[in-house]
Amino acid sequence: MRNSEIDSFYSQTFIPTAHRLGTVTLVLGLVFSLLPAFYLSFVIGAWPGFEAVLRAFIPIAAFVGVIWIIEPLSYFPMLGVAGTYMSFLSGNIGNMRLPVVIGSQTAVNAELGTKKAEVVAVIGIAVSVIINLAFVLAMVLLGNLILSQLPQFAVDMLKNYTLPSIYAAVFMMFLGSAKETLHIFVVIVVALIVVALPISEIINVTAAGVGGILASLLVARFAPGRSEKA
Amino acid sequence: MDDYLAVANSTAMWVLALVLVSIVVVQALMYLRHALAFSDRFGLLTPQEKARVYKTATITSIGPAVAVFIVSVSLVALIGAPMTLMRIGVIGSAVFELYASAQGATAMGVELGKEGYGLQAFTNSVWAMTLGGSGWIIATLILTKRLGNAQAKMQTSSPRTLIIMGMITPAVIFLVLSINAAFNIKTLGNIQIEHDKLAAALGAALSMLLFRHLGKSQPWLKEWSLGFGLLIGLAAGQLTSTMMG
Repeated sequence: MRNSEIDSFYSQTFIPTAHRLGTVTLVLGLVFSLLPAFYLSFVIGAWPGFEAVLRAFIPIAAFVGVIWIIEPLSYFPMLGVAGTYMSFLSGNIGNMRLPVVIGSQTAVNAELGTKKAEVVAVIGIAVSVIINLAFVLAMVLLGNLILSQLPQFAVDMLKNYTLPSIYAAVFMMFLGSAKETLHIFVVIVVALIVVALPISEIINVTAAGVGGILASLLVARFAPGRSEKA
Repeated sequence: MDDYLAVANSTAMWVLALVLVSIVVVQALMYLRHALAFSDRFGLLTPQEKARVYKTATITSIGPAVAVFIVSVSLVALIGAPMTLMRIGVIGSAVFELYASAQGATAMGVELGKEGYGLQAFTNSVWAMTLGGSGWIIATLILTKRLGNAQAKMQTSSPRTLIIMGMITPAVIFLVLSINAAFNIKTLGNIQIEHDKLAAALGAALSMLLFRHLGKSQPWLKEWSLGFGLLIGLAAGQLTSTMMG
């Protein structure tokens, strides 16, 4: 039984190793990301005081605290175990990692929920981490030089229209992977309800994640799939 | 404003930044090796498919990477190159880091990069960005194991739910992101359309439909579709903005 062989390797080797690797690298990432703050405060001696740090941190925590939890939750079905550890260490999830994941999966017809799709996600994210880093290194070293060589309209165009374009294109890719028309309908209804809520644009993305998860559970529970009807 | 930028761009800060960047790169390479080993052991991907994934991921990353570059190049002048590298290049995202660093400054009674923004205020911005960003890492550390276990259970009890969730949840998120980008919804009675951004979104969305159709006979197009879709969206946005003066 080839499939059960894959399944047992997956659950006994692939996933446990992914958790170990993720835990070690995220703890290291957490510690090393805090070092600059400690260095500036206690080696250079520019500690701004507890009160100032808290005064900055509390509004941030109040603002994005829910997002900390909802984001890993709502992106998990797409990213998988390894992809989640990778994406939340490397950042730029909505604008880069997820487009790469859905784009790569579509390019090789990897169906969502398969081992193939999960492997493709990991490879795609790894490639995008390296590519992004090459650009960021160029930016911090030669940023203004490169920027001054670009015509102004190109700079404005990239600044203003990249996000609407990439979001809409990725949305279409997800719609393309829909198995049933009902699911497309549910997506549009939930999204319209979410944008109609009187909450800020940063919070409504979180609400979209929660709404999407709840709607999926309802659809899976109450709407019989095509295959089950037959 | 004192010369906090001299400290922000000091060798020590560079070393700290490069160590963090190496952690991210090493992690990516280790997972890559891990995934390839799994794939090769069971032939999950053919060599052609692997090549296609590398190519698609590269093409799809370039557009967003250029945009991140342009949005955050201004941050280098405010928080220095090493912090920009650490917070924008890895770990964070441009929007959040800008917000958090500004919060750090506000808490010190000054404005980011303006008069009075000195070494202490900069240090407070660094605390704000890193503590704020830590929330995601800690949540991921705590949640991923549980989510993995829940997923494993559902894979046997109700695999269909996972597939539905994997499509509906991100589709809702990206539709909401698109609407946020193209409309300015104050209240339900007061909705402003940002015509150029709406044109960009529609241009990209419609071209994806076209590429999807053409991709059936021209498989190579699948690798390029997000890259091309982005370019068409950019052009549509720019054209609309030019026409509207």
